Amino acid sequence: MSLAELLSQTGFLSITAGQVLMWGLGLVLIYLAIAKEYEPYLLLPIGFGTILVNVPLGGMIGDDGLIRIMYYGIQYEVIPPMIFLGLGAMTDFGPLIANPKMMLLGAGAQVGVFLAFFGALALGFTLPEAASIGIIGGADGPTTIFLTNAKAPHILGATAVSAYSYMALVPVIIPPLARLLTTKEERAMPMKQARPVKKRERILFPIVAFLMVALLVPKSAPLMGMFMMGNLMRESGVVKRLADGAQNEMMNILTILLGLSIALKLTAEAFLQWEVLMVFGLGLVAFSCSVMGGVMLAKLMNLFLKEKINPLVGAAGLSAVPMAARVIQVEGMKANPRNYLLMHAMGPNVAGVIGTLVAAGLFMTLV
Amino acid sequence: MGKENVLLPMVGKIMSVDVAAGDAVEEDQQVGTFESMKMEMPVFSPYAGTVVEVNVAKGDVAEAEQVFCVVESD
Repeated sequence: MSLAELLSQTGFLSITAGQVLMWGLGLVLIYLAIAKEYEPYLLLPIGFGTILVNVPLGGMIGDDGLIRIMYYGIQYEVIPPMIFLGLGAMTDFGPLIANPKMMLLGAGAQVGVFLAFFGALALGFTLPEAASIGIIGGADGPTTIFLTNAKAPHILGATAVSAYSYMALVPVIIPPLARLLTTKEERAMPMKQARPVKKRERILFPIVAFLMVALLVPKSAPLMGMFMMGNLMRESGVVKRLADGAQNEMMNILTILLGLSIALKLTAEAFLQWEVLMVFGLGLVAFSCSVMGGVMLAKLMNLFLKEKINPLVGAAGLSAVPMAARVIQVEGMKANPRNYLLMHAMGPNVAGVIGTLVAAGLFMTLV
Repeated sequence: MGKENVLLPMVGKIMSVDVAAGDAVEEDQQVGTFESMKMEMPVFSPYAGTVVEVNVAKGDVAEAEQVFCVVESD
């Protein structure tokens, strides 16, 4: 074998410019994960996965390639619902049960989803693509991946990276928008301590909520069903080991699989399209409109409510749990050091997750 | 003059108690910190006066509206 033949067996002669560009993107994601701690649990595996799939002749994405096989978990819509099982086991619906009005704010924050959907349509995206782009505004990674896989798998790399990047930027995106739309007096407004929630209510909530949502929007049943199953495991108190396993070991393993599988859609050929930039732009529009929609709806509700809501908590209708609620806590405290909005913001925050599930279910049905 | 309760604003774990009985406190002075949902937050005294009683200790898991300390106001 000549030296030239030997060399051709290596990857060096087959590298394309696009692949090198994707290594760069992978490195940026890894940098953001390590140096900035931006969603490190996802951006680190996605970042390294991006480099993995862009090595020539590696066979990672061939028919029996490693990443391709992992991706079946997304393709057959198993991983995102299973992640919801873990999320359900982690979620405390107490603040929402104590104050069901907050459900409206979780719904209000979906306004960005639909605005971005129509925006994407106007820019020439197809209906399924527009739905997958719009759902980014729900700030919910697994839901975005679930819907995009079903409707527009060719843009999954873009919607997933966009959703997770903006979720990492929640502490940067929410404060200026929320401040723009509120006065200092409004942000300083304390809220009355919510009532304690009984164990029976906590147990009934996942069952009743699942039936209501799944009957209303049947296509949301896989995500909503697993979400509520996980929550029932948590609240029942009788399967502590399962609840712990779901929110720790299972969640961790699925997070690794999810992060690496997304890389299948991050090859140079699949990702480097001009549409990707538009997906990122529209994703930001969707996010911002969701924040603003939540704040404005809270102000609207205050016109009718005797016990006023601090409009800041409306911004927590974005699903990014619990980051959005924490950001609201910090903002509320800046305006009034004795203002504790964290628990109040958790209501719209977890309602936002349900809201995004419903929006995804609607898109699954109608688009 | 009157005894006023400084309350913990939400359920959480007490991370620090920054005052002791006998200390003078200003209005809005921090009396301690607590952690809820992996977020550490301060507790402020809404009253100026003298701390007469501290009702929690570092590491306690406390309910919302539990008395953190009692301040005899000026």
